[in-house]
Order: sequence, then structure tokens, then C-alpha cells
Amino acid sequence: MGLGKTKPLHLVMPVWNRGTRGIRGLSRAVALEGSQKKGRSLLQFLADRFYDVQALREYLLQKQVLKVHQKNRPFTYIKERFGPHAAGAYFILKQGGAVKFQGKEWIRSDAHGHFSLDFLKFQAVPVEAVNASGCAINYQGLDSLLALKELRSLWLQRCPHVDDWCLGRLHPLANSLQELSLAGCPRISERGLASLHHLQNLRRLDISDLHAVSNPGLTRILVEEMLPSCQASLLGSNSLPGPGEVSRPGEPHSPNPVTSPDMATTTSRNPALDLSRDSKYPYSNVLLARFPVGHPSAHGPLRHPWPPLAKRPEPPWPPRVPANPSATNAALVKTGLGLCSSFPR
Amino acid sequence: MLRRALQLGLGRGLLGRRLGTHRGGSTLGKVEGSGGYRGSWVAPVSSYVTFRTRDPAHDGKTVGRLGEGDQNGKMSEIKKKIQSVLPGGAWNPPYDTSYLPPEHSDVVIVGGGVIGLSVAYWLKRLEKPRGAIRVLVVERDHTYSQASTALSVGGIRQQFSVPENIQLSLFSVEFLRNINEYLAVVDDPPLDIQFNPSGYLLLASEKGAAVMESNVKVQRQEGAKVCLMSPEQLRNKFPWINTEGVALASYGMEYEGWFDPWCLLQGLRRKVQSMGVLFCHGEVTRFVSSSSHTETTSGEEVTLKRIHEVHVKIDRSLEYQPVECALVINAAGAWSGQIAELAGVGKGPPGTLQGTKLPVERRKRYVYLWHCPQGPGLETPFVVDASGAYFRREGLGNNYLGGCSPTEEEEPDPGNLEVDHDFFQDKVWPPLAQRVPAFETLKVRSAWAGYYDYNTFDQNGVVGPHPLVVNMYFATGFSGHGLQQAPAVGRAVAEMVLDGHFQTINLNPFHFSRFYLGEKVQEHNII
Ligand SMILES: Cc1cc2nc3c(=O)[nH]c(=O)nc-3n(C[C@H](O)[C@H](O)[C@H](O)COP(=O)(O)OP(=O)(O)OC[C@H]3O[C@@H](n4cnc5c(N)ncnc54)[C@H](O)[C@@H]3O)c2cc1C
Repeated sequence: MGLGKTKPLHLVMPVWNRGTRGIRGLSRAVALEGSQKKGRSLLQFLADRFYDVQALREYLLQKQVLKVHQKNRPFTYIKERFGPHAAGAYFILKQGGAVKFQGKEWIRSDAHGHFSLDFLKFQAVPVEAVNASGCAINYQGLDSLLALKELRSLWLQRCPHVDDWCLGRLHPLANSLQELSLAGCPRISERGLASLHHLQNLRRLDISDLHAVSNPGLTRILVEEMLPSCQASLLGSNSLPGPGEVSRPGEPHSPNPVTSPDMATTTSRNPALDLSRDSKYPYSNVLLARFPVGHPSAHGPLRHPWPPLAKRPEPPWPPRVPANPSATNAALVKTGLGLCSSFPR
Repeated sequence: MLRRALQLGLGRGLLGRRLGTHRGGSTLGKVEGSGGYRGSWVAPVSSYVTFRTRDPAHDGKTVGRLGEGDQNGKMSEIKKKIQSVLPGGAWNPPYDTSYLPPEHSDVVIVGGGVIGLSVAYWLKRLEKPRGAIRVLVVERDHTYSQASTALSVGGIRQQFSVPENIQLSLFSVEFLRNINEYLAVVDDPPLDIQFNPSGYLLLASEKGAAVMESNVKVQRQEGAKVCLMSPEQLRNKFPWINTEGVALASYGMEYEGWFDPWCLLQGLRRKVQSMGVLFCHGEVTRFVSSSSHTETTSGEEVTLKRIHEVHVKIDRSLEYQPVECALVINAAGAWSGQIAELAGVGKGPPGTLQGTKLPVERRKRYVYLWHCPQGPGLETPFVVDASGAYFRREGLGNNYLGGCSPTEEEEPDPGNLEVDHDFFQDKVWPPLAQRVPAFETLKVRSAWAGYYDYNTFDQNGVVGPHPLVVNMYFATGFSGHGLQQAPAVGRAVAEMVLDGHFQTINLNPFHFSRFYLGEKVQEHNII
């Protein structure tokens, strides 16, 4: 705004202004005075640097976010030149995933992230399967996938940035998509799964190891009710091909092993996939997310003492009533979890 | 701690000033400061900003200046003070005044609901340089027991008829999607906004079908993902709906659904706090303003008012503190009409601009939560019937919540927030049971009531400065869609304050003067 020079604009309390500037300005004054107040200038130094450290950390946080955005920017040039299928494939391969064009072999990048660009010649051949497991694909990156109008199988296992918002925009694939695996995505909850009802052609759906889903057994039943022609799998995702095994095309997934039908096994977690231990994504811990604020001591006395957070006002809110547990159990017994073990082709 | 100690230690004449300032009106600082202030306020809106290095912790009373000449003599004294204030020291401040608001703040925001906090957030975010303006949020109820934000049903949609509303909502949905980028606080866990991307399903009777069609056209133009459905398609997609009397339906495929308003409120509060916005637990009871007379271009004489001080009454106490300010933002939701009146809005002969009131009043709305074992499943969108009754799924256990806006004649007395259960029996249940036959058997589990910040003129927001009370800005009157527009409205107001005009979304149609000119911005889709 560049108004610093214009005197009359110091509308509110010029004295106060000088005072505050003084906090920073002081260190300079002290330094001029000489060494006698070394202790104090050290304090000053630290206090000064406090904001710098904080700013630096905020910056780093932003950088992280930016990196994900960078990875998900669209390749418009390739799209214009070689069509949406090649662009989608290029995007996935860049991310470290694998793609399969109709009637061709799986293509994936090597250990160094290199891959052959032969597929650019396919042009009219559509992509029919994508394995983006473990990729940093996010909401924005889905753009490239949504252009693949004949995509039949999509694996998005353990994708850290795939969330409910992403599921909400899969509907353009409704006509083609038959297989979808979301196993182990740490940010997907039952709220996002509800929006899969657009995908009416879905035959198989893997929703195992979703730690943000509050009630996996009930959720699976509700998802199956919502998509009557689809089998939703809750069991461990080991049997579905990971990016490493994908190069065996045509081979149907080995059926998930039928284990004991009780709840404990169905929700047992594959330790290798247990992203919730990696505390970067404590999404399952809703409570923490709900009342995270303001332990004043955490930030020292610099915070204004806003009184401790009020709990959510009691009477009207929360209207959320936990899912009726007895209904869950009854329903589970009725369906028998073993049912979902083998996918009909 | 060290920092605070230092401030205290260096504050010359600190104790004296504290004693002098802490109760009541006149203060040293104010006297020194106000000379330049009153005289020089002639600049346009964007230029009141004062520059300061970033320092959220200062509360005005603890700041001193380094002495000019007598410094050496003071040093030992200062050292002693520092020692006593450091942990383990014996220094006790004579009175704890931390609950008082500061005596000066560039911007005072009345109301700490989602709108007020959003304005605070965008002011801090768009200010240049960092820490340039001091923002104070005054909220009288920290439990938010009556605030609409905590009592709303959290829906977000783009199915409006006014383009501005669609744009606001699209901006907000983008904000909510990236909420952990906008509202990230270092070291705090990410927010879980609990967005349900389930969409809104609006049903229209034969009479409303044409309007719905033209609305959807506008919505699509603005970039919303809304599609029209015939009764046939509707039956296929949602077999639990009885399509009798439905001629057309519009369904939001993306960006629509509902989320946790409490999470947004807390996220904003946490972020805003980390950005250095000050909070005060108190009620705004009075404005001190000056007036001057001018003539309009058409030769009419008008009185321009400028607010100089906001009196904040401390919660559960007779004490109040005047806060000198350059700008007041009226974000008091359902109570913003009263706040406007306090500032003299509408006090004048009827039919003149001066006599035009802010037409925002409290309207009581009920929300009922019911259980229905045979009710619609996971795919249930936010359904709004042609009759105005609405419902949505709540969680997984076959619970639903919904309600209906009463007609103008049936408006309940807004004096309290008691729930009228007969209203459900008579007005909400019959249309819903007709629409969704499964709802013929249901059990109401609980209910609550909240206040719409209802704009009686045209059910749309009021955004921007008042034409006569020149430094009062409005962000209110959203009549039941304020929650979903809050992120965008906050930005619009901040742009208005900092740049003098809207940049992202042009909200000029929402200006106060439309009440005087009689130009309605009529929104058809009010739920
Ligand atoms: C039942 C119901 C359902 C709703 N559903 C939706 C929905 O689905 N989607 C949607 O977008 N919107 C919805 N709304 C509307 C939405 O809740 C409001 O528009 C929005 O919350 C307004 O926010 P606000 O910050 O302006 O008001 P509030 O949240 O009411 O905040 C105003 C604050 O100002 C404070 N205050 C008032 N006077 C003073 C004073 N003199 N001094 C100090 N503080 C003061 C109050 O204590 C209050 O906390 C719903 C509202 C209701 C009642």
C-alpha cells in the first residue's frame, strides 16, 4: 500500500506504533550502545528470531503443499498433441504408476522413473486400466484420469492425497468403470464412499483398510445396498495386485482368503499398509481434529488468552447419533462377511 | 515468556500506566494518540492502515518506549523488574486486565460467528505488509449457544438463482476443499471438515419447472455441476422417492453436500488467532460517533456519520471498555439489525436514505432429527421438496434431519429458541412422508431451533459499507445460506476494506443502498 510516508495516515495511535516497532528496533539500539547488555541482546535476538523461525516453518509447510500441486499439474501440451489417453497415461507414468492400453501390455516406469514413450503412438487406443497405487495423485490430478472415458479398472490404493472430495468427482467415469480399489487410502471416509452411487456399472470395489471409515462393517453393507450389482471388499488388500505385480495382465485377482467371519479379522490391519501409524494423517482421530486448538502453553505467552474452547453446545448439536450398534451386528450376521470373499467376474 | 518479560521490563512507567488505564475510559495512550487521529481522518477507505511490525501479543497496555536520556539510570531497575517477572519471580500485576479488549484497534468486528471470523481471516491474509492492521473480534458468547453457525445444518449448494450467490458458493467450496491449506497452523493437526459430497436434489412441481430450468442454466453458466432429471430418471436413481407431483428435479453432481460447521468455525478461530487477531469476550453496547453534513449531487442534505469508539461491555460485569477504531464490521448475524440501529442506521424520516433500516431480523427455524429404519440409504442427497420441506441423511444409522421454513404468517415468535413439535407434525412430516413413503414410520429423536439472519427485503446478503455511516461495513443478512458463503464473503469484505472495491467476486448488487432504491436481488431458492 506504500502509505508509510504519509503522516496523516497514522490514524490509530502513533505512539503505539513506535512502541511496537521498538521491539524490533531495540536490538539495533542496544547493539549501538555496546556490549554491556549482552544477555539482553541475546534475548532480543531469540525473540526476534521467533517469528523468523515460525515464518520459515510456515513456508516449509507451504512448500510441501506446493510440491503435491506441482506433481499434479496437467500436461496440456501432450493432451493437445496426442489426445487425452496418451496424456492420462503420461501423467500416471510420471507419477510412478502403471497403465494398460486396450489390447496392449501393462506399461510402467523402471526403478529410475524412466519409461518408454512408445505409447504416444497409440493415439486412438484408449486406456482401459490404471494402477496409481501409492501415487501422489490428488483432486487436481484426477482431471487427467477423468478424461479416460473407457477406463474400466482403477487402482488407487494407499494414495495419501485421495480423499472424499476426489470420490465426489468420479461420476464422469460412471459408464465405463467396473473395478475400483481404494484400499488403504488414509483420507477416505464413508462420506466419500456414499458418492460412489453414481458408478452404476461397478462390479468390484475394494474398500479395505480405510482408517478414516468409522464403521467398516456397516459401511460395507450400506455400500453394497447402494450398489446392488457390486461386491465391496473389506478384507485385506494383499491379494489385489500392487504396482509391482501389475505386469501380469489378464490374470484375475486371486480371491481374497476367507477368514473367520468375525469383525476382528475383517478390520485387522496389514501392518505394512497401516498409514495411521504414520501420524501425518491422524484423520481417524476425529476428536483431535475437532478440538485441536489453543493449549495456550503450546505457543508460549505470545498468544492472546482466548478462553478455553467451549465444547460443542450440547442440546441441539451433535445431532449425530452413532450408528446403532445392534443393527450393525444383526446386519453383519445376516450377510455373513465371508460372502464378499470371491468376486464374480 | 521471555518476550513478555522483556516487554514488561522495558515498559517505562509501566505500573503507573497500567493503573491508569485499566478501568474505564481515559488513558494515557489514547490521549497521546487521538490528536492525530481525529483531525486527519479524511482519506478514502483504503488508507487508514497503520504500519507496525508484526506482533500479535501486544495489548497496548504493556508497551513502553525505551527512555531517551535517563536510560542508564533506569537499567538496574529494569533488570530487577525482569528478574521478578521471570518464572519464579515475585512480581504480581496489581490487576489482571488481559480480559479487556485493547483500547485501539484498526478494525472491530462485531460478532465472532463464521462470517466475522472469515472477515478477520481475509483481512489478515490480504493485508500488506504482514501485521499492518490490528483486528479485534468482539463476541459475547464463547459457547456460541445461540449463534446460527453452530445451529445450522451445514449444507452447501450452488443451486441458487442469483449468479452472485452461485459464485460465492463455488468460491467457498473451493475454500473448504483446500481448507488445510488455507487454515493450516504449524504444529496443529489438520482439520477434518467432514464434507459429504452427496449433492442437493431440488424438486419442482409443474408450476416451478420453468423457473428451475432457467435457474439451472444460470448455474451451469457459472460453472456448477448441476443436471436436470425427469421424474422417470429420478425413480431409477432414487427408487425411494414418490415422484407424484414432481415435474422436474435438479441434482448437483459435485461441490454440493454438507459439512461440519463447527469444524469450520474452530478452524477459522485457530487460524485467525495464530495470525494475530485479538479476541474479546464482551458485548458491543454503544458506538460513539461524530457527524457532519454534506449535500448530495442532487442537492439533498445528508448527515454523514463516523464511528470513533465502540463500547464493549465485559461479559457478566458492569465494566466496559471503549475501543477506538477506524472501522466497524457488522457481522452479528441475526442481531445485526440491532447493531446497525446502535450506530444510528435507520434513524431518520421514513422514505429517506437516513431512515432506511437494515432489514435483517431474527427468524426462528426448527431442525428435527429422526430415525427411520426403512429410510433411504447411503446415496441420499440433501432433498428439498417443492413444498419447501427438506431432509438429509445424518451419519450411517438411518438417521435423518430436516425441517421446513414457515410461511410469513406462521412465523414463530423469535423470543426464545424453544422447539415447537407440532410444527413437525403439521408442516414437515406430511410433505416428507408423501415424498418418501418410508418416512410414514419414523421416530423423532431430537430437535433444535436456530435463528436465520433473515433479510426481509430480498433474502440476500448485505455486503459492503453503509452509505451514511461511512465506516460501518456489513456482512450479514444471508437468510439461511450464510454458512456456505462465509469464506467468500469474508474475502469480499476484506477486499472492500483494503482496496476500496471488490476484486474476486463483484458483490455490488448486495450493497445497502438497494433497500433505499427498492432494487431487489430476489433469490428464489431459499430453503
Ligand atoms: C436451522 C438453520 C439451518 C441453517 N442451515 C444452513 C445451511 O444448510 N447452509 C448454510 O449455508 N447456512 C445455513 N444456515 C444459515 C447460517 O447458519 C447463517 O447464515 C450463518 O451462520 C451466519 O453466520 P454469522 O457469523 O453471520 O452469524 P452467527 O453465527 O449467528 O454469529 C453472530 C455472532 O454475533 C454475536 N453477537 C451478536 N450481537 C452481538 C453484540 N452486540 N456484541 C457482541 N457479539 C454479538 C452472537 O453472539 C453470535 O455469536 C442455517 C441457519 C439455521 C438457523
